Amino acid sequence: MTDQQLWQNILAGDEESWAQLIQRYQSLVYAVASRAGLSMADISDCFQQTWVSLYNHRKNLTNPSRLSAWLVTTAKREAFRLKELASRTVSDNLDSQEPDGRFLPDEELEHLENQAHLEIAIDQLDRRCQDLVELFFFAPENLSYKQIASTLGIPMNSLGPIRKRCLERLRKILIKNGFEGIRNDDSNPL
Amino acid sequence: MGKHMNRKELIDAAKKQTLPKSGHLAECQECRNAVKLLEAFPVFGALPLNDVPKAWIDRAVSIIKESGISDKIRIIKAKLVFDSWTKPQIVGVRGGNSICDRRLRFESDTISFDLRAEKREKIWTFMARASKKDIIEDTLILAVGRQRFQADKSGIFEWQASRPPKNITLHTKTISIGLPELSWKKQRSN
Repeated sequence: MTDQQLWQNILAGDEESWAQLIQRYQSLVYAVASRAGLSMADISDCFQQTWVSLYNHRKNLTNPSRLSAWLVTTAKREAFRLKELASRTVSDNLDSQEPDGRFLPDEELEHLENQAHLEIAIDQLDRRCQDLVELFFFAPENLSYKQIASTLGIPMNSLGPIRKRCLERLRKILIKNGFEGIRNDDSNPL
Repeated sequence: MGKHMNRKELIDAAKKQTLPKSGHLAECQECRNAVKLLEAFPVFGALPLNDVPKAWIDRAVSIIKESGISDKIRIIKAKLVFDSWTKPQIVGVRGGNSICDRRLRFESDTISFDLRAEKREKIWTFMARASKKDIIEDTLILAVGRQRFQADKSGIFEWQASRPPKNITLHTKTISIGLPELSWKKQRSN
C-alpha cells in the first residue's frame, strides 16, 4: 500500500493503517532523533512527539506523498527543542553553548530519507531479491561480484540475470511508492 | 555493445553524476538504470537504519486509540450573546405580574440558539430554535436535564416544566454544544 493509500485510511480512522505507517517510518524518525546527540530518554520522547504531532496535524497534511519529509522535519525540530532544553540545564553549571548551524544538516537528512525509501522498497521484494539488492547497495564499494555471489551462495554466472530482474522490480516499486528520480528517461537518449 | 559494467564501474559512474555520451553506458539501458539507482541511493558500506524497540512502536500506535473517543465527539461551548433580563424593562408593555418572560440568544461557531421562556402560574413554557451554520448536517437533539427533545418540522423545540433548566446541551452525531449554565434569579435594579 502506498503512503497516499495509507493516509486516506488513517483519515478515515483506520488503526491498522496508522500502525503500518509507524512501522514503515519508525527507523527513519529514530535515525533523525539519534543523530541529534540526544540522550536515550530524549530520543524516545522525540520519537513519540513526532507521531503525536503527525496525528494532531493529520487534517492539515495536504500532500501525503511528502509524509517522510514531514516526519524528518518534525523530528528535527523536536530534537532541536529537546537538545536546547538539555543544554539549558547544563548551562546552569557550565558555560552556555549556542547550538551551531550544523545541527542535522539538510543534506544528511535527505540522505537518511532516501535510505529509508530504499529500505521500504527492498522490504517489498521477495527474500532472494532482498538479499541480493541489499548487498548490491549496502556492501562496501570494493566488494566484487564474485564476493557478492559467494556471500549469497549463487553461481557467479547467475548473478547478472538475477540482479537485472531484482533491480527492475525494485525500480518499479520505488516508482510506485512515489520515488520519481529513478524513472527511465528514454525520450532523452544519451 | 560489449560486456555489462561491474559493480565498481557502476559505482564510479554514479559518483560522477553525469552519464557519458559514448561507450557501453550510452548504449546499455540496463547499466544506465543501475547507475541511476546507485546515484539516487549512495549507501555503499552504510549500515541499514536501526529499528526502534517494540514498546516505542506500541506507544506511538496507541495515539490513535487514545484520541479516538474525543475525536468522534467534538465538544463546543456556546456563548450567551443576548439576555433580555439584563436589559432595562419597558414598563407597561407586558402587563400582568403573573407573566414572566425571558429571551436568550446563544452563539457558537456552528449554531445560533434562541430560547424564549414564559412562566404562567407555576408552569414554565419554553420555545427554542437553533439556526445551524454550514458544518452541521445531521439532526439536532436538545438535552434539558434528563429530557431529550427533537425539533419539529419548523425546527422549533417546545416543552414545559415546573422549573427552568440550569443546563442545556445540543447534540449531533459528532458535536456536542453546551450552553453556559443558566441562572433564573432576576437581578433587581435600583
